[in-house]
Amino acid sequence: MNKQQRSTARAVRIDPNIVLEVHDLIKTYTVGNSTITALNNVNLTIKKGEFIAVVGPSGAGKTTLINCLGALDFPDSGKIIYNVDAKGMGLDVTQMTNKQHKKMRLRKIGLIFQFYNLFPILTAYENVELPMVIDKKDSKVREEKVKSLLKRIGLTERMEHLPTQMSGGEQQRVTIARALVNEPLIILADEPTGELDTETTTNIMKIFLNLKKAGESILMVTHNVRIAEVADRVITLTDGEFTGEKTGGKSIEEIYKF
Amino acid sequence: MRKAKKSKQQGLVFQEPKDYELDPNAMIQTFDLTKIYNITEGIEIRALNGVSIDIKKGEFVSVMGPSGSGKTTLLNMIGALDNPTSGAVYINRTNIAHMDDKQRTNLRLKEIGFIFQFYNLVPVLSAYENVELPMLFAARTKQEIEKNVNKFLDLVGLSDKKDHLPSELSGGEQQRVAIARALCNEPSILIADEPTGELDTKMGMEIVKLLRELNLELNQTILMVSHDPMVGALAERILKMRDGKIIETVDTKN
Repeated sequence: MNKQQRSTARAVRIDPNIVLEVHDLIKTYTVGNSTITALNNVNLTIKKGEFIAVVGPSGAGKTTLINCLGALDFPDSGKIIYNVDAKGMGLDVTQMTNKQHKKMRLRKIGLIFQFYNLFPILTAYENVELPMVIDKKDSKVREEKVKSLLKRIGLTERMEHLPTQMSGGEQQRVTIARALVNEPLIILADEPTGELDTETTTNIMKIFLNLKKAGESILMVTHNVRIAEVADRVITLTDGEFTGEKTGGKSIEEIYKF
Repeated sequence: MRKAKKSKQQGLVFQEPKDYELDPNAMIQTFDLTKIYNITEGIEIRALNGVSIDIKKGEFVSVMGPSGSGKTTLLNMIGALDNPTSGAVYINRTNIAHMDDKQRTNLRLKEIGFIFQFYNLVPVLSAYENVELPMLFAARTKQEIEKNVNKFLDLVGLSDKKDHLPSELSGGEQQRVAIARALCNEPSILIADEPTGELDTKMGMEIVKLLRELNLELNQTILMVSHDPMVGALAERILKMRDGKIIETVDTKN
């Protein structure tokens, strides 16, 4: 959807129990003379408090999906409707202006990346605080929120540490706190355990399960089909299409047979 | 911004006063710097093994050496991103080990500009917002922020892409944003860790030429790590490292 076709997103009705509805999403890229279809007619509904995993190999369209849902990119066509208020009114991010997109990214969507993407010269505390600084939130509000989140993910002791002084798992926990700091509607995680060993992966998944228990909605894309089974639903993405779905809900102990 | 706590950082080793000979013209000096990592019990890696360097104000110096020779570790010590096991780092004649957390944060935000191999831009923020970040954390005024962000995005040739997200920029453009971000608080020193490591040769040379121009026009002191001889040779002086030591210094002006 190009800029000329977009205006201001109008509110549409959405089931109050649903956090996100995706309709007929298509995204293509042109490389040289050929067109690659990264997402082909993707449909998805995520209920509030649901934990969904999308699995697929490299090149299946996982990151494109996260980028479109995360307001980092615009699809060619389709709808991505977020339930932005408690009264059952939704907004379609594909119809948004760049300014509205920015607000969605800062306030409504919590993004987690494979490579953490922390700012190396800032401490753990400052990295978590970052979206609130950009959003010009009051310093007292920031301090209270950042400290409570660092406590929640067990990094209070490390808040003055820089990313170089933390392990990969600790850095990913910082990004989880950063994603939560503006109390988003949903957490979108792109291969959150791609750089981590099995033990650290299970720790990160335990945090995700705790977040789910606390009512957070999560969409995680991963190539790790085993760990995906902790999610409520596991959807398979193949060549840009959803080709299968199964129930997950397994415990970490079941998956790794500890 | 939140006030930094006065507590010492974990692992920080305060030096006993020694008679270090401070060079009045030096911007960066290290004395007998060592860094030892304990991998597991009984196994340690000596990443830096007695490194003493002296970089003058306005100098452009590159550090070269094979992977694992200690280049990045040296940069991290100088940039106060990590703490040495022993030895001392002086920035502008001040021992950074004697700084408290707040002073070290100020050093990283205001005195040193950092450029990383993987750009380390925040993916959800536009080019403009990425550049303004260090200024927001340094509590600069709105007017100062607007002036400097526009000035440095213009300097790196990206004024027309300031609203673009990192995912909408090429690798070379992302690194230019990172350079503008490193410059926005007008630091005394630029530290660049493999700034061309992810770029093709042409783009890499453009980035290093940009650094050279900053060095010549703004008299910016630059310390750059590279493993590419063509890139490293554009500096005035090359420090060659191996096994945590400086094994050779080459003056490229001669």
